Amino acid sequence: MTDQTPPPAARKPMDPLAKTFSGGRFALFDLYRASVQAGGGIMIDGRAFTDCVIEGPALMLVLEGVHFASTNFGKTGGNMRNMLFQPMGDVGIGAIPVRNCTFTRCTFEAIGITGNETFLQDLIRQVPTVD
Amino acid sequence: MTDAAPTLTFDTTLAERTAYEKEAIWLPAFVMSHMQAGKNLIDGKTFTDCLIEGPAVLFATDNVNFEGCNMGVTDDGRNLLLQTVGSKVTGVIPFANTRFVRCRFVGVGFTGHPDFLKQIAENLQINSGDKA
Repeated sequence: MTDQTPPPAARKPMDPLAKTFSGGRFALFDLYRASVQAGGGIMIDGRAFTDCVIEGPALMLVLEGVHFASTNFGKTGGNMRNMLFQPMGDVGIGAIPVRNCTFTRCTFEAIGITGNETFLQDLIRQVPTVD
Repeated sequence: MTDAAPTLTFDTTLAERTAYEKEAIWLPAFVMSHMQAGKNLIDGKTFTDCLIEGPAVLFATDNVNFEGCNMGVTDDGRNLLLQTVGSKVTGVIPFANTRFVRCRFVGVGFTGHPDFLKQIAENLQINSGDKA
């Protein structure tokens, strides 16, 4: 676990194509599937999430332009590495691609993270763990 | 946030069954049905001629076998594989003692013990969606 944030509001209806999400609780795979079905493309792109609880189980593929501010990445088991996966090929099939998004004071639950090696090393180096 | 998005409902009877044949299995909903039944590990299942859909990453623990399966559409089988970085995992869907027979996987990645990943990478021919 990283930074502590107060629990946001309970689950409520959302527009899967919205550019901003504030105070919601939703499953990442639910948002992704709804976004794809609504014509939002195969990536979650250009969204801003604030004070959201984002649930898994899911693996997030972090691409360019993604920023995390005061994000609680969830239970790490005492080591940020436990949340991370290294793609063995060029494409991380099975992961949900996220690009040009900001996550501000969000809390992740059962979300794994993958991305390029530099990004993963940055997370290991920069994200403190408390459990 | 404005319009309502589809709200997922989970079929809790999925968790009680051990055999699935000629069914479309959306892995996120499948695992949620098990979690709601108090099962964090999907154990002791047989899938035959099923379509297994992601996005999701299947974590093969003990005794997970694939027989005549199409593992996915890619020109490089390594694209289906992810290595764990730490000693624990999160965000993936754990399976044990499970057989997949002639199943087709779409949008599903795979992770597990390095020996499992090595076996998948070396033994499966995955060519642009052809049968593995």
